[in-house]
Amino acid sequence: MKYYMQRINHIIHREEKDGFHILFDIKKNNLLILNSSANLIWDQCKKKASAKDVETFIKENFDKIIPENLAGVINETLDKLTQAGFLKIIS
Amino acid sequence: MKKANMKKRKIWPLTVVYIYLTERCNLKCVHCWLDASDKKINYKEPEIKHYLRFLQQARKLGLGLVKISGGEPLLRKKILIELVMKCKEMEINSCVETNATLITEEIGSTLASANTGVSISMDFIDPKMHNEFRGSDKAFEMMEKGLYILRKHNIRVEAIMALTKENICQIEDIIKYLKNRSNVYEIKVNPVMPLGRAAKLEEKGLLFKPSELLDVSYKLHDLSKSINFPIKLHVPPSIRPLSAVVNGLCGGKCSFPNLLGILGNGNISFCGIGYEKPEFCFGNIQSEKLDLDKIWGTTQILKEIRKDIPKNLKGVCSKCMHKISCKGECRIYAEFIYKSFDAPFPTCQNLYEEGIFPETRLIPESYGIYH
Repeated sequence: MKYYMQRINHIIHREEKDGFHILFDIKKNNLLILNSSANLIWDQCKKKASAKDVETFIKENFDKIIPENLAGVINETLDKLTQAGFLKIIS
Repeated sequence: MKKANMKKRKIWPLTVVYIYLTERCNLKCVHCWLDASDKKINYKEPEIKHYLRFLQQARKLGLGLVKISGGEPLLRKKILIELVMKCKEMEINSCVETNATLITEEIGSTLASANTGVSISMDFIDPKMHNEFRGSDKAFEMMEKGLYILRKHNIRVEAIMALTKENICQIEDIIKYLKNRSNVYEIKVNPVMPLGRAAKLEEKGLLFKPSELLDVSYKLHDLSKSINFPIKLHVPPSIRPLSAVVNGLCGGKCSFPNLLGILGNGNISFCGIGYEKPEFCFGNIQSEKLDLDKIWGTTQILKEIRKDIPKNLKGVCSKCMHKISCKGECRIYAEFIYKSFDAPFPTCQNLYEEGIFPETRLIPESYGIYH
């Protein structure tokens, strides 16, 4: 199984009033903007987490806002965060 | 030229060309940076063969988009038609910026068949105010006819509004009007800068100060959400709400330094700056010996800018998280104010000096400046 974890060194995380979040990698000058859902997914990767772990957590805690294709949304977001260098894949 | 070959030769891609087809205009807008009018010009405007030769050379450098503007480009209708059709043939995207007052059936049908994007100007919902702003008592009526033709040919339209304190309250009504009469897909709101004739608007206190723009930015985004219509405000992403940045509703998308402008007299420059500063012109497309490859590859100032932007931007731009994507917004305006291409964007620098630049977009001082 593939596990994800936040890269924390040289990463700045900010939240703004409109509920959107900024991730900024100061080494690479790389900026990523997250909506609140994507940020929730990012937040679950503070500790080692698989896509399934994230899905389970969201289903248990946010049952009213779950989209139909939750697994797809989670995988897409994790891919995006990984490609942008904000998550590392650990085995 | 194929991308792989360009990489092998280390050619910096020239992706966008602005063609200011003429300096002349049938209107006399109070905000015009170019001070365009129906004035007589004392030079020969380029012919179609000059533009085509330029396009052929530019294509080899990676050209993908030609934006045709003016003055009013439809004053050179014949050349405009040939240009957009040639762009289509060469598989180069094209778009036209027009005041929409001179659109004919022939133009509508050509733009549709060339798949050319169209941006039209609309500043007021009140015809009298629009006409005063545009310097012609027929401007609104003629623009309406133009919109009708564009809609008939199913052409998607971007509306461009020159924003001042006089018309900000009319945005919602303008959008409603446009939605009913055209295939408008977004409105681009350009805060008027104090250049050219607009200097007089500043004297009258009608232009927004940077601190006011910050407020305008958030209010317009709220409006955009409440009426469910994209309002793109042409200001740097640092002063837009993040949700607007994500949806591309901000400036900071200038193609500089992958951009060249062809002025009304055929001079080649960065963009329109060559009108103000002839020292930023690198040749003329009417020259029989035109060698764009050489101009693009060896002109010293172009080489310096590629090295410095956005990497070595100064002032608040050096500390801004949007530096890479924004590239300092408009480098020409920065040069105009601070006399340097790597100077910060004036609006942002002003906000920073006033202590109201959005802190969440700044790289903390403790991290230093990373390049």
